Amino acid sequence: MTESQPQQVYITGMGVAGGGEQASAPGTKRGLQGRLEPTAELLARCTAVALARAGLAAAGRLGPRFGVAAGVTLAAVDSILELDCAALRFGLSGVRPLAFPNTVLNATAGRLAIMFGITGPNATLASAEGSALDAMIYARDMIWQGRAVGFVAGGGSARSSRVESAAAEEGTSGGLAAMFVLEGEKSACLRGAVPLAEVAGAAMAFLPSGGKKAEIAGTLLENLLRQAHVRAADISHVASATAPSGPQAEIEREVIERAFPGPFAPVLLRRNRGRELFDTAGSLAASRALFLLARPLARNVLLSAFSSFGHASFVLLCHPGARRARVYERVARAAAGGE
Amino acid sequence: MAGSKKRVVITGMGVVSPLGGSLGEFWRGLVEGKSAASAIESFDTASYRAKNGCEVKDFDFARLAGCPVPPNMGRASQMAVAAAGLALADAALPLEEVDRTRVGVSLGTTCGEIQVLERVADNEVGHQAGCEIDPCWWLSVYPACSIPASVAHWFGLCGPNVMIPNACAAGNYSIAYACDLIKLGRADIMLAGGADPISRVAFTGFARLGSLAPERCQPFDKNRRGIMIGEGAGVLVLEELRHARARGARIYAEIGGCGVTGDGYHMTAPRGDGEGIARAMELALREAGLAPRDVDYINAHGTGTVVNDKVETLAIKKTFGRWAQDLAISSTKSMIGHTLGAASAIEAAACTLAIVNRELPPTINYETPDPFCDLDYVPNVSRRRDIDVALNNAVAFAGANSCVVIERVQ
Repeated sequence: MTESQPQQVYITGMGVAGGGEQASAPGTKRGLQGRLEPTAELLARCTAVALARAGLAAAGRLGPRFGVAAGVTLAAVDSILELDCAALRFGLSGVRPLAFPNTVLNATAGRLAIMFGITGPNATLASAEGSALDAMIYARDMIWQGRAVGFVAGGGSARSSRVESAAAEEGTSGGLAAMFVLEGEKSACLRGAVPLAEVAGAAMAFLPSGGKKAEIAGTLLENLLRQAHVRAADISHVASATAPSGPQAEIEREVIERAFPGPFAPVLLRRNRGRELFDTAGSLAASRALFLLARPLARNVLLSAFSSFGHASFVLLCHPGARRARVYERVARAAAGGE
Repeated sequence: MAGSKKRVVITGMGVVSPLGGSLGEFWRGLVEGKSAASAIESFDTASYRAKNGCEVKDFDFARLAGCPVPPNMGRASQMAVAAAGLALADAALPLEEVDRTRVGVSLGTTCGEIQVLERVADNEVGHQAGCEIDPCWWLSVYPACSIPASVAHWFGLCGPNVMIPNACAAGNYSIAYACDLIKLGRADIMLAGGADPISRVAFTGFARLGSLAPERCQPFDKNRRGIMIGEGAGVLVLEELRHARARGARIYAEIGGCGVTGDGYHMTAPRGDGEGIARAMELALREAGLAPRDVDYINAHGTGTVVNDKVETLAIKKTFGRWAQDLAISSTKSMIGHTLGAASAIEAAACTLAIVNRELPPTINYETPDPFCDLDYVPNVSRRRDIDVALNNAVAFAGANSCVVIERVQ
């Protein structure tokens, strides 16, 4: 793997919300069409908080320099079934005209773009437990490729009784979300933003049945750490979005044991059995990591997601600390014409 | 643009379309101006004004794969796996000889495995009484990520595996991200594209929005009345140029650049001034290092709705200025319908074949010029023309715009 890393990417804002109620996020009424789907509502509340934390709330429309990446896999289930059941029961006239847009998975990202005036890349990522992590990876890659200077990224899902009854796990599903503001170093520095963490590395792979899953994922993780110039011994925590039991949890455990040998293995923070299913799990793992980095109870936290479909995603979050100071100094010098 | 100077080329294509299950049938159908529209058979349309769609009537995964359909594989996944298989065969890629951790999958969709949820709905309203559906089953099949996962499982691909369900722009978004992953060094080869099955929910939704054409799709025609729902899958084998040359691969064309933008304006309507679509085209051209005069052909999003075609025409004029009149533009949706998340992937294949075969597919059902759509839409008959650069436009609900530049490799 020969990854180029044009600039550092920081997380400068975070918003976490629970529930999924229909109350509107503050200051986000403009431009709405039709009923707001509950997951979009939830992510909008997170986004409003994250932007405020990042010092971007006053910016109004974020415009073409910002993008949005929403990690959602199951957001549309209720909307699809409500539309289809209404049509089956009452015919076409029983369907609300604006119910249809909520049945497509990118409705959530679209709503966020409309609400916050985001006119850069507008993407939805669906990879079950890895959705939120993949949304963050997508955002970082887009910033690296120069397609945006910043992104609102994360994921989650509103509660759904249908999904709950279908979930093999005990307890409820969804009802939680987290969104993050990711920014390239130039944008963050020139705004004087205070980073919560540096997105120091990321990797994705697929673990097909019959393959050497732990070996593939382990190699991926080793490469990630090498490219991020972070030693395995310096990772104190792994925040996991993987289902807490089952084959994926076993593979994850094996990968961690392989990547972090010896007595100083990181603390593995497993997700809760209750409310964290699919899209919620990754975003909550990331918010836990940021909490640890903010205290600071950790310097480097690895986010890990092994989805029930075979996806493996890793994101390495590091305390911005001294490296940030050096980067900010360099950007400031460049902006002042010193380079 | 930051990043490396890696170049991404197309070395294989696979299309499962309403015009047939092979690339050859697809292309012949396009240049012959064949319409795939016919009465929908997948579900009952008795209560709808529109009855037609573009289904892949003869699709038989079990026959193609030579084995029964796995119980957890829906129609979208079946079509995606079939298209991926065709693309890999077309690319003559010996999978057993390549590092499969460097081969990834990036796919898009609108509805995904929605037919699974349609069965759940049938069950809920009692249309299939006595046919209880195991909720654990639909939760394991419906999620859109099962589509690229099925492709990766089937071919044993361990690289990045991404699902970007960006509705009608999903194919282009997936191609764009696949290119980025290659350029960033995270994969050498990506299977990129999209898949969507015919969907009762989508048909109902578009019907309720008043966007369904009753009998045929007439993009850019003055009397156009809407879209024709279709289904299918398109997959491109994207490869880093040096990697492709090193293995002696046939190179169809190069992905010169991509532009992805958002309108941030409306859930179902594009911005009236076409700014978002124009910006996507401008960004794609900039990334490709091309000027408007360098472009020969645009495969338009061209859905056949009154607003979309008008706005896209405006956006093309905005981007190309006086060069807009010299462009050839066509909408292959006039023939294969709107295959939603697969559309821009299939259309990327059409652009590539247009470059390779030096022939432009037409816009069929074009009868009456619209003063608001006054460009050259290659009406009704294909046209021989040497082209070096084609643009593939796609826009989606909530204003997700995209453009991919496909160019002849010099």
